[in-house]
Amino acid sequence: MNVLQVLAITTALYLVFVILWVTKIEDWLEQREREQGESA
Amino acid sequence: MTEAEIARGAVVTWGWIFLVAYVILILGLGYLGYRRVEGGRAATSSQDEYATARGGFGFLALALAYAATVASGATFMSIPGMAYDVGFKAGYYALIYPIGIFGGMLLVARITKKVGDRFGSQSVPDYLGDRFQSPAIRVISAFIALFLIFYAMAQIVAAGWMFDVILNVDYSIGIWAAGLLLLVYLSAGGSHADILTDAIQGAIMIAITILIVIMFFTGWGMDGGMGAVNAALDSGMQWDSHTNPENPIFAAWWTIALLFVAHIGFTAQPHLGNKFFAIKSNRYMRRFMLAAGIVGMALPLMFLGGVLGAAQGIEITDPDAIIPTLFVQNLPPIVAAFLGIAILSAIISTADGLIIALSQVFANDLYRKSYVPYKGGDPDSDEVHQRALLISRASTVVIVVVAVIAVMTPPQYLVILLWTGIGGIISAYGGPYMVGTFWKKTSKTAALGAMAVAFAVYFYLHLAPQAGLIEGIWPYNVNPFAATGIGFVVSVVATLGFSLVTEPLPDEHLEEVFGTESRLLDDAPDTDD
Repeated sequence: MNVLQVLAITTALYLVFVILWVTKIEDWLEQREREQGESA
Repeated sequence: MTEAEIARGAVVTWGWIFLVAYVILILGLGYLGYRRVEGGRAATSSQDEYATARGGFGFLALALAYAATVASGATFMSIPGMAYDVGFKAGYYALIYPIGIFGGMLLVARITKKVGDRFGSQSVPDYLGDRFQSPAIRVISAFIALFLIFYAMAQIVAAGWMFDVILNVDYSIGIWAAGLLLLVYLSAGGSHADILTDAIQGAIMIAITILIVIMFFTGWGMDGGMGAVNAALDSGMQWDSHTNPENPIFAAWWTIALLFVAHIGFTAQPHLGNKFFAIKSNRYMRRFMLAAGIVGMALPLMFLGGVLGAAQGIEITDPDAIIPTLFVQNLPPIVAAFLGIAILSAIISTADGLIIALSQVFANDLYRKSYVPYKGGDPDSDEVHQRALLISRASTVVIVVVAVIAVMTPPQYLVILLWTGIGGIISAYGGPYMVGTFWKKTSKTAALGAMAVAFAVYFYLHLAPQAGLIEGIWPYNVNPFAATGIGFVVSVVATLGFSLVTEPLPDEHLEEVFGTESRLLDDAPDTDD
């Protein structure tokens, strides 16, 4: 693979990570915080 | 008069026209910022508006401003210059550093906003002081943040240089012109002016980046697209060459990995961390993350311009000038002149964030939140807020003037001083900020210990060798990114390790820090809009 291909794959993986974070992990963090608040 | 001289004259003419329009735009936004600061909404004081623009911006404007602040003059000058020198492998710096920074941003943005709003934190040192219930951490962090002056100085040097290249204005006049512009709109509009202008400048920078990307992929000025660009380079610069054992930054894959690690901690820089306070609500944080994460990855594609310039065989003595030279030689004068203003935007949009962050070291961190309580006063009284606002504006003026005077003769060791600030802050703040954001048991003692140990490690690896005190270990002695990466890892590990063996903060304080946001306890589901 050449440098541009490595960078394209890295960037694509990064964008997948951003989307996963925004849609899934933030959901999970907020849900956890909500449950902690309700049980407090 | 030769054809080149005629073209150069046209660039200068168009450059002046764009500069006048740019200055009018920036001053207009500065006035808008001033009205917002003086208007001070019910929930906040004018000082808080000046320092943070708390809750004042939607996700898109803030995302553009954040990306523009990250992309300093280096993105438009040094990184393409590096690509001109080393070829495609410079892309490992150009595109890996934003992944670190924006990845780090995902980790800390929402909680920084939540905690900052609860405690009224007005800066990253203030946030750390509030999070760890520690005036000592606030003061130490504030003093370390003062190193950012070197970062600001480097931006003013770059601005002076751009005035010289695009407008034929002498460097010594250019730095004062840039300083005066910063001084006027920042002392008036504070963080509001900073973010408003940065959002517009971010949009300008995107336009120029798109142009560069098109030029590269079409192989502008060459026959055969980007394949021809690659073929025209020396073999060591072509896209099959990934590392170079003789280059300390690209010596091996692990030095590139450390470059990534170092920039995760970059999110802790005071001029970036304070941006999170400005978003209207955490309801908009996900959109901010997405927009900033995408825009921030686009701007460093400017490195492709450096590769194209090398492929075209452009000969210049200073590689940092490759992008302006590429435009002057390939495009109509009007476009080349617009590029000059775009680069100036990149420089100014980073400098203003740095200056606001520095002003809050004096106004908020040292005066309002440290000196006033030490003397038994109330840091939230109207009188203290008014005085802090006055100090904010006065210190903004002083910081700009000092920074400009300091670079009238550009310091020989400016890059070293610059990385004293950046690397030192990342090493010192990185662990306490990133670990303390997620882990309740992070203790005050651990934060203080990690700051001391990690800064000492960074000093030993990079600063002491650069200062000529010791020879040091290659490549850390000449590669600030690798040394900062180690400093950041030490900071995180030390924060975790020290927290396991020291007393955690009181439960009541932790409840205040980590307690659920009220929006999440509403009966209605959070629709994130």
